[in-house]
Amino acid sequence: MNSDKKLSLHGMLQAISRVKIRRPITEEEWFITIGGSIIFLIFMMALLAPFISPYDPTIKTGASYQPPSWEHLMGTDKFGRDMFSRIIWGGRIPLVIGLVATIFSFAIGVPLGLLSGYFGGNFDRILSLVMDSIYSFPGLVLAIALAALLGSSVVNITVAIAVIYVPTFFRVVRGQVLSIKEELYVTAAISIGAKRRTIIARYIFPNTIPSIAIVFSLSIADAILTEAGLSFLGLGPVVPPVPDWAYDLQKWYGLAVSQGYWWLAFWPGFFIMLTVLGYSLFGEGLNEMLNPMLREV
Amino acid sequence: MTNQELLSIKNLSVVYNTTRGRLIAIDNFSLGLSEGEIISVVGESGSGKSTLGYAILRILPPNGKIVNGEIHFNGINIIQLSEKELRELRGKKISMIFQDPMTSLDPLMRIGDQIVETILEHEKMDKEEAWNIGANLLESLGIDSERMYDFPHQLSGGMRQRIVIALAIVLNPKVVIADEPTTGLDVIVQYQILDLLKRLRDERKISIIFITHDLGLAYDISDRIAVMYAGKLVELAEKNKLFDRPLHPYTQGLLKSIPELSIDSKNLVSIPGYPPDMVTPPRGCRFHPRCPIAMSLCRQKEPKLIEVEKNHYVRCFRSGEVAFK
Repeated sequence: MNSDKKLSLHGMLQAISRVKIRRPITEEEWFITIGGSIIFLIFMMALLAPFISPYDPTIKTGASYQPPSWEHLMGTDKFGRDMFSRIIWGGRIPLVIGLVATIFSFAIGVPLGLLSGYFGGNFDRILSLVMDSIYSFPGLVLAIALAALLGSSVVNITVAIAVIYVPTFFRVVRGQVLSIKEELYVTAAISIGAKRRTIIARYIFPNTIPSIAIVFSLSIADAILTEAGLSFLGLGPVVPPVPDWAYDLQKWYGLAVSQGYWWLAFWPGFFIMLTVLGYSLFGEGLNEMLNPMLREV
Repeated sequence: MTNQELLSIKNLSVVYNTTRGRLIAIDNFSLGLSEGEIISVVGESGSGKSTLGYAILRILPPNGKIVNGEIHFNGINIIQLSEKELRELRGKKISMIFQDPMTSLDPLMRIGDQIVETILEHEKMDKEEAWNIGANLLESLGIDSERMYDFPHQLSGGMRQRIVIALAIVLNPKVVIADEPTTGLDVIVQYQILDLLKRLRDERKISIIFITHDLGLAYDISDRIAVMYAGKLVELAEKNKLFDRPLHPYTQGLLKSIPELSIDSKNLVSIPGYPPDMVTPPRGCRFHPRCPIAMSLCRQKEPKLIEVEKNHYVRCFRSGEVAFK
């Protein structure tokens, strides 16, 4: 009985939120389930690319500009490469950059937000000012500037994107800390002689996790779009013939419009959209599920 | 006062800096607590009674400041301790039970983890040992030790408050400050909590400062009662003395305003008016605007705290006269 509960979505969400969730299945739960499934399937596709892609995505395997057929499910490009294989392989870079960049942002933004919110004062003022100035730039513009400055390798693009999302984590966590540190259980922890480190790490941080989870998911979606934007502008990390959705999209969208070779631009665009949709649904679902409950607690 | 005092507060003054100006929350307050003694501090909201508890543990909010006075615990002046020394004092020597058991436990931590965390903050031992101490303590407080695995939201209000008490005493402190520990609990549970506190005093010789607005509870639990009004100590006496012959008009009013559960009691007495604004307290005696027997001297001069009878202190020019009928 108990183990069944743990395996269900209810059980899992309950473990995250530590709050009881009522039946029946709500809109948010559908969001999370659908979003989560999309993310899972796309990850599995990229992960298992060597086993499921029918052709090598970097070499000629058929005639040029073939529309979708049983032989080439998504058609072929100018060089006769199989688009289906390129789509399968092409998710690896955006998925990894999106995830790794967001993990970096998390690793920098969360601790700074915790310290800034907890200690306040001038430290907080200066840090908030810096973060707000980063935040005030449109993400893509900042990424372009950083990519131009650092040069566009996979690592540099990841760093550039990571910088963009640090302020998002910082602001959310700082705001949460400001309210959590006024909670009675924090005062109670101080009153039993807890060290500052313990208070921040054991009492405050865990209570910010629900908000962080939401920001995390939404930031990955955004980071993937930014990577796509950079690739689309020719500042992407990918060197041809390595497959990458956004690279293919920008390479072929002109032909798709002028010559009617729709499959060249449609599939990369569709998969970028699908991935972003998956993360957004997941994040929004978490948001709607956790926020009202947090107010309830 | 005597030398056996475990905790002695002398001339304590606490102010809050607010947007409207300096708010004097506690004004020149003195009180001594002996080992194993329970003193109730009674007063209306805003009388400074909770601030007193926060000041003793030095956990006032950032805008609160101790501007004057001394708080001695076992001969050490708490006011002069460093942050590190304070941390060693908190929980281990003096601890606090907070008003609201619903919010004074971390919602994301298991009960057991909170107890273990508290122990390990002060003692060097492994987790398992700390867990066992916690489980034994819960059993001794009449709580099934299986509750160690529960989260706060799985427990009832009374159960949570017992857990909060367990957290407060797990390190065997000498003094426990209980800040309205029975708020929001039903009457039966209230008395269970009081009995538990009394038992702890008897078994562990813990001294308790019991902060409350409820004179009935104060009478039930304490040895002495201190009445606070607008940041001042207005009357202090052994509880029976205070109940039999309250000397300060405010105390008289408070006692009269306890509803009586008898057939012929018709009306509920209340003290007219409201407690004063503490940014601009009234001149003279702070109670004079609400006092039925105030005279012109009361409006001009602040009365001193006088020992009218042995161990019965009162701050009033007309102490002992009947103010409320």
